[in-house]
Amino acid sequence: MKDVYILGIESSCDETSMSIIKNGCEEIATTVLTQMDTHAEYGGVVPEIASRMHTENITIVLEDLLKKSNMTVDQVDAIAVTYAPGLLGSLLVGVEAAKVLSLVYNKPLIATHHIAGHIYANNLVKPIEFPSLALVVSGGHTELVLMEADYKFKVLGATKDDAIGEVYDKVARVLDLPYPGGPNVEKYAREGKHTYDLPIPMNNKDLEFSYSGLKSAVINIKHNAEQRGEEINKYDLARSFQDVAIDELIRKTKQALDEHKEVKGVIVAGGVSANSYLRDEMKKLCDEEHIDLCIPPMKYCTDNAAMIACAAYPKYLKGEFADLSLDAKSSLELY
Amino acid sequence: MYSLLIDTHDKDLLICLYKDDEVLDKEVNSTMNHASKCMPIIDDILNRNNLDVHKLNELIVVIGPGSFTGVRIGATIGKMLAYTLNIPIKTITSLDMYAISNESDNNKLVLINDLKGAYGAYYTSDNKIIDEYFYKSEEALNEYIKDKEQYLINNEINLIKVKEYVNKTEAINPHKVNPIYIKEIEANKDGKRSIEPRFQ
Repeated sequence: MKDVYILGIESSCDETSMSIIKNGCEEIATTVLTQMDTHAEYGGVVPEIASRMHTENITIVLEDLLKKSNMTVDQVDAIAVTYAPGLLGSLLVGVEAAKVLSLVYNKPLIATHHIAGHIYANNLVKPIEFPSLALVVSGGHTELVLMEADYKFKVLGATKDDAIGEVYDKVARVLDLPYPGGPNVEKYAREGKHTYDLPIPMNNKDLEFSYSGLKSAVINIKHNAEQRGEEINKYDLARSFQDVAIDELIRKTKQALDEHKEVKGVIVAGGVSANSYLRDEMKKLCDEEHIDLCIPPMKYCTDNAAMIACAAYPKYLKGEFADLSLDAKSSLELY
Repeated sequence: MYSLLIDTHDKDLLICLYKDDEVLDKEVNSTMNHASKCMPIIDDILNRNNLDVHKLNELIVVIGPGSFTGVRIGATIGKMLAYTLNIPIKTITSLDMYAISNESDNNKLVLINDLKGAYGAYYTSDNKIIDEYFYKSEEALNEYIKDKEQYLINNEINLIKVKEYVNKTEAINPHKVNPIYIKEIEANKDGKRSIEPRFQ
């Protein structure tokens, strides 16, 4: 069969990225322009500023990609773009840019779900085996998803309140750690000991998650210490929080595996999959369970367009194309 | 020579195809859904005039001020078209567009209203700026226009005059084509950025 090249575009949050992927699994080139340092000054992503910067940089990112890949847009077979979920104003820049490429180069347009992208990033490592169990963990998601075939997603359990990435960011603010919060909490946790007593979230038998109680407990510890005029140990509190938060992901993943013996492999996807403690613990679990584990390399854990082009490939093969009226959506379920 | 004008700053979306300095075709869309309408309308206009997109010779983009999302859609489409087709792109602000479109023997006050106030600028009768672009809240605006009410002009667009105007302006590097917002946001009041994005 002829090789298929897909140009992917991702602009759902604070990264403007484009990538060319061959046959849904081989990276030709990727460009990621990150606004992280700009938003760090505000302690988090400012949506309006993010949208403005995407517009400023969209053609610059395309130029860089074409230079790196040594290809022209004419040589690719389709244009893929993240159209949901994410910051609406940011998504729109990528979507409109993708539509222009589709019109000018007469290429089919593929609308891609951001979380599907995080899951399909694993194809860059090795082909996803079905059925697979995907743990999707990011600033907006905490979900266990059973994947029976391409784009056959069944959500086994999701968070009832805060997403795990969101809670990491909140804990970072409570501990006065700079943005981006998640990686900084992890850095502190590495130096600390588990000394604080924190509640285990959703201490029950279903596969739902809940992180708001854990979040409140961390806030209360800080607050109570302040009231007493005491200093909290940031390292120990970060460690105590991380142990509880990540152990909960491991516990529920194990439970899902127990309930679904047909599962051949575990996938971890989303920004929080960059967390080393999660990676190590998940490796231990999968070794114990004698099951295959796939976690994308660090560079594919954060937002990037390579994963978007990967996720578009099964849609390309099925001929599922969008037209020029494609609009962005700030929220959209995966299934 | 074919030029395409994209105006997304306001509630009405306007796409105009010029042949030389004449309007060959145009479409106004009032559905307030620029994101899903703009590209299909561009495609339709080209198709019904049997014009391949590669036959376009020039882009003209109205870069605002106006709806933030609106002007971003127009600017993104404009700069991507100009960059990929490798043709010149020119820009005009919404306020200048209204000033040059409407003749007056007096000074001209141009206002573009939104929910909480208005964007504006004050021009001489021959379109030289007196008061730079501004955004004023309703209250500040009432104070400002007290002595200028008689100079307020209509927000009508004269497409021929717009073309004449851009003919005299220089093309811009597509990378540098960006909306103007005038109104800054709460988190970033001075509109300045000390740290720019970087390649990973």
